[in-house]
Amino acid sequence: MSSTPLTHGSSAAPLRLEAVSKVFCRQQNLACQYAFSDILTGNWDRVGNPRRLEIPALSDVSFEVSPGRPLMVVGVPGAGKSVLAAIITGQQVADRGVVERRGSVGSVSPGKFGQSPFMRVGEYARLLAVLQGVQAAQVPAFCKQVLEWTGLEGAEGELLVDVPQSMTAPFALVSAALADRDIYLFDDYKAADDTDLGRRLASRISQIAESKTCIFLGRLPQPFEVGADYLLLHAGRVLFRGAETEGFKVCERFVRLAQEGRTRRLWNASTSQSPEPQLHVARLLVDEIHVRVTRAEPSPDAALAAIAARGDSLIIGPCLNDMSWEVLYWLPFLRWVGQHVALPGKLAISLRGLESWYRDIAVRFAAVSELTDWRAYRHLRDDGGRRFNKDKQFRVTPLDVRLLEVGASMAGIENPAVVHPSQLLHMLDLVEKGKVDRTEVSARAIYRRLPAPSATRPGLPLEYVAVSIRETKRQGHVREYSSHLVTLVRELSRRLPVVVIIDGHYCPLLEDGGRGLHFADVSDTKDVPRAEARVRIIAHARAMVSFRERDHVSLAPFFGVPALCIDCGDFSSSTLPLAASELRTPFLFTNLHEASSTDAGKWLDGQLQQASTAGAASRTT
Amino acid sequence: MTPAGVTGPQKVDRWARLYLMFELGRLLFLRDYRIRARQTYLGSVWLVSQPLLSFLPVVLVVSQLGLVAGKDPKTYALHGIAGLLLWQMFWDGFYNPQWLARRVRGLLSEAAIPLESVLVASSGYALFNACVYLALLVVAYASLGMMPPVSALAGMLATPLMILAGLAFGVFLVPVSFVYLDVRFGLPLLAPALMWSAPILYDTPASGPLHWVNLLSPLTYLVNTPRHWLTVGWQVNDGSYFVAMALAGLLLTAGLRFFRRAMPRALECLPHR
Repeated sequence: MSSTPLTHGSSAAPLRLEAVSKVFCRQQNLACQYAFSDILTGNWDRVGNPRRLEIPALSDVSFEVSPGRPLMVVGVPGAGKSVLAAIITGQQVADRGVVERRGSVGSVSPGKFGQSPFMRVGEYARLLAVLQGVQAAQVPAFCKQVLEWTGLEGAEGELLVDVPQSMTAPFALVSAALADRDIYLFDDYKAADDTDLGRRLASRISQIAESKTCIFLGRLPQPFEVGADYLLLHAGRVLFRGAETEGFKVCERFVRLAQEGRTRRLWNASTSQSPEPQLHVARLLVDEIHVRVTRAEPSPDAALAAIAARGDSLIIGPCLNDMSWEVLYWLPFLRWVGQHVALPGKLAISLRGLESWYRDIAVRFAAVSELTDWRAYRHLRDDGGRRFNKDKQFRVTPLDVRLLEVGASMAGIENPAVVHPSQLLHMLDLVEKGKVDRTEVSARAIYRRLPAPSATRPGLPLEYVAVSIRETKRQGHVREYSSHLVTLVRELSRRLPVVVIIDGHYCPLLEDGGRGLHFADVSDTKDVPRAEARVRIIAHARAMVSFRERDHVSLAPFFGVPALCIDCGDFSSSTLPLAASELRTPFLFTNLHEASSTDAGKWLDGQLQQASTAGAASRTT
Repeated sequence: MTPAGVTGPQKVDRWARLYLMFELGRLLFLRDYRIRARQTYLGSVWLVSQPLLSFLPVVLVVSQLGLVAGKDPKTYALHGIAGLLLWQMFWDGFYNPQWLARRVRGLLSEAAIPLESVLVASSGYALFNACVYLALLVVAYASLGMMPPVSALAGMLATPLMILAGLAFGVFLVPVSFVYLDVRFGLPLLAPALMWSAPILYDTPASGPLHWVNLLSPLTYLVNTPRHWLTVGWQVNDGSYFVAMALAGLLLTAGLRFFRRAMPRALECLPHR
């Protein structure tokens, strides 16, 4: 995220805000109660001591604006634009921070500004002149000019009720634009229509933007002919600052995404009970947009530095990916994250991971099943899938938002930062596309063995070879594969008992070679989650042989289990061999035509031999 | 803990701000007057006569029945009317600021204006009413066949002070009225109690509870002396009026400080939709 400060080298800028904060109460009755108490007791420290339902409308907002370089403040409804405008004009007072105005401030926005139908046209023009701070001597000339622009010359004595409303409506806008101010604030200003008055107003405002200090506030950014800065405000925080095209694009895409409903919960920031989870989502979204806009390489380093700089409590996840991805990429990445951000975080959320894996990463672990029921999970997951299609893994989906909200609330975390899998997935995607070298991924990983579950699966022998197979029923060449598999299992079970891991799918008829053949269907475990059942079998095996299956075998090196992969595809471009090497665990991959089942038997002999030698050596030591 | 540091136009040009405050106050008064007097022929007569007519019958009845000892009916009638008018000036100064501030809340939520202009507008309103009251007093002199004493001039000049004394109390209620409307609804109920707590339609009794209530009411000191100037003549031996006015001045100073500090916080309670 770009965090270039919006300063231009001059400390004498006409308008400067420094760490401005403002608190407001979300409930009207309570707000009145607090205001009454504050008025009577003189309590002004609302930021330091927020009460129930008091949330920051603005939090540490800083910027300065110079003449001729407009600042466009963009934000969805409830972002804090109006509060910011009120503080800049002096209508409201900031609860904390410094507001420096060098000169008069004028607000250019449509409105009634004290208009009453029973006022005379001349009186109203004079009232507007005074509201715009026009000097006493210049008031008559100013009123004359306003009346000329609006086409009401000679109608000074008429009541406003007797004049067509279309002629009195632009009164306030015209007078605000014509008044000579040092600082102009355009609140929700919309480009004038194609009338004579509209063209004159557009010309005048363009002239003001070029020479005066201007701030524009709106839901969508607008382009400027002169150089401009853009500031994205969300839930009272500055999410992004940027200049020129980059700033415009990031702000525009963020608001469009929020508007289109893709991240509907972001749309009205002020309606949320606690804006924090939304803020994380918004920050991640802005990071993502910024990367795309600038076409820059993903830089988790920069993102993590930003998280570390905020010094907030950390939530890790939610990791909803396959277990093999979680073990091979996510956990090593998180350990690398620990070099940048103080770990352990407050909470880790995972769909398939085990609590023991996250002990050095987070103080508390929450499985997804603890945070939501499966019906809601499936609904939100499908919803995210429909909305984002292939892009869903690079986004913070509604499901993620829900899990983060519930998790933060459960763990009592108020202002957390989030390390989300999308940060890593972005980089892996670029690796896939050949834009980033694979070494970038391995450079951001620290591989460590994982603790094996203490419990084993009941009914299994003490020593065994785990065999993992992929469903072969609907494959082509079924007979050929089945024949290979039968021979493989027979060869292995001549040496050690074999446990075939089945995940509820079809398995061909296999033969025992003499030491025993067991089938472990992990899909029918009632008390233990399927993922943990799988890990229990793999982690306690003497060796593992995978036949055309990649996911289970990826776990083996992390538990120190030697693994042989037969016909599992090419691992040379995978991170797995590197991880296995780092973990000092033998890992061999071959294809069906190069390795016979006898070779597999020999490999197992070798592994057993090595293990017994290592065991004897350790006993001698 | 102090509010955030702010430097702004208010520190740039004090005179321009003063002009803005008074001119805006004048225009707000004019705006409100036009709204209140819309579609009427007699205009402000209706606005002024409503509170006065409710008490004038009391004055006339009490004077005819001779319930006030030591005063002939005509003297009592003038005494009562003058007291009533002075009370009404005080009440206008007290009640109008929160009433007018509430009426311009739309403008206050739209634009950053000097908030004191609301007080200027309401005081202008009260002053306008005071002019009408003094005209009514002149009519009362004529109809009762009595000549105003020379000191009546001083009594007339004291009327703006009466309004400021009312403002000194009323300024505290303006911010509160933006938070809770109970102030707005409750004040009219308070008016009769306040009025009867001072010797406006009667003389202070020599003893008893009412004597003590009169002594404790600041209105007693604020009304008695100017009324004496308007109806009888100079009353030089009683300095309580000047002490009361000085205290009202101090209260007004404190009230203005409170007003400037509390109003921005109170305005945050206006619902924004």
